[in-house]
Amino acid sequence: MTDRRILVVGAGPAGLSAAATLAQAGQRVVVVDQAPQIGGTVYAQNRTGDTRPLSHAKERRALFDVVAAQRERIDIHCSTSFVGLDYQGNALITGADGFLFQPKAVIMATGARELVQPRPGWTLPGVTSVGALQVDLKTAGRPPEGRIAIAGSGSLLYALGAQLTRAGKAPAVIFDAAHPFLHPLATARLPLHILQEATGFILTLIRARVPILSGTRILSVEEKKGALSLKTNHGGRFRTVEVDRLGLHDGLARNDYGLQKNPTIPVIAAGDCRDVLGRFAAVKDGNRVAAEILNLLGTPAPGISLTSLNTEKAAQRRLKSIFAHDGCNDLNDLPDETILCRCENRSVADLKALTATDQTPRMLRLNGRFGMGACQGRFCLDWVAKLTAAEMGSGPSRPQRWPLRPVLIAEILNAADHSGNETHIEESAKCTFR
Amino acid sequence: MTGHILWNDRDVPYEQGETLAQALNRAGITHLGTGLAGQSRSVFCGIGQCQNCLVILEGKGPCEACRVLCADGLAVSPVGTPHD
Repeated sequence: MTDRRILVVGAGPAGLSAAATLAQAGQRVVVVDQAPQIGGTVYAQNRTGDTRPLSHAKERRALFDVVAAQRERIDIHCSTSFVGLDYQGNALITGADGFLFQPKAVIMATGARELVQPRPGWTLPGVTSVGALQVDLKTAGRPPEGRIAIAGSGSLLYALGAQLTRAGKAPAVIFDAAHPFLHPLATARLPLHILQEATGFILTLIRARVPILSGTRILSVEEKKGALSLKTNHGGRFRTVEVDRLGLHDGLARNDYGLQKNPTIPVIAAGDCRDVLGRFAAVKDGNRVAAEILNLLGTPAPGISLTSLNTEKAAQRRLKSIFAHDGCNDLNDLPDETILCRCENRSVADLKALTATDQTPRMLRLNGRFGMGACQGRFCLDWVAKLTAAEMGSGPSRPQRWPLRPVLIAEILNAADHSGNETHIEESAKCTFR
Repeated sequence: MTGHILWNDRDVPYEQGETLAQALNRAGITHLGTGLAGQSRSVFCGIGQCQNCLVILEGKGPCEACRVLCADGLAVSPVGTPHD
């Protein structure tokens, strides 16, 4: 029998726990992550050499220790991307380490996709996703310069707000489209660990007197004298606020990009990319999917209890109801010049012109270029689908093909061919387990 | 460990562990160029999904500024800059 390895894409909680479970069962695992360090976005490590404690330090430590104990069987390639799987089951890996090999199974643990609703001006420099600000804070260990506003909806607004405050830089304001504080009953029924974390965030924000304006939406963003001018709407009352940075966030979604069926080997999703249940569930889901793979390979698999997964699932449903709002209706009122597709610079007017003629969902891509850009529709197709639901139901079709991300031809040519043999593939970048 | 990267031949200092995007943003450079379709290049998702922060790494080609770590003397330019 050949000693083929199992590929795990993503070194966040789901990917790392899956890798550890597989290694404990005697399997050899190759983990790739396109970030320079392991941990994913939630356990992103401070890279500056600063040794102050990081957020979620204890959970991160516990996860890293399990992986470190199995390091002999787990290769970890950071700054390295999974590009795709051909029909024969060859995986192309590029980046810091480039190679082609034949895994015996693939676990996709690429994490959630952050949703950001289009608004006029959301493509301006200085406007980022809330996730981007959070990863920036975690990895640089210090907040960005200037006044920061956080807007949209979801628990991440408060997480980032509190983390910035604790790092010495309270945000200027938080605009929440929903009314999360008007749901005390649903809130009280959240699991204790979520409630404790949320209470900590809110207390931090209150103590720092950060203005939290719920039921408030950003109508537009403009660049004025080097700053960002935000026009907000609170139930018909309009205001203008000036900041230097704006973080936008409208929830998290599962991420099935790259989850292609393969005729030769199993490809299974784990963690937030399968279902957004948060970091605790992701660790458990990694164990669960690893056991599933072991069963498929006909090797003994550990029994995994699904109780905690179900608890997290119920909690996420509750959180969704707490942060529910009708802000998506704003999509229909977006001015014509609003950019929908950031990659190809396609606007609401471009979409309207297409839907006015008789178009199929496929033609929205081919003629409209929606979903054809470098991000492959990750940031526009949700909204294009909502805006065209009346005309074409399902919305534009989603490309399910590789490469999963833009790749340089030179990288394909330079990938070392390991498809025929099973020698160890050197890790060029040393990843740390802080 | 600190050093400088080159942005359009301008020296931009970085500190250990910073990505190109972090060093450029800290130097006040948030506009990273203009794409072929006229779109403004800047950091958006911060984790290599959206491709909005593509810049040209000398000797290599396009890359995401949010994913690449700084190294001393690394020359970086906006997408669309003519090459010699």
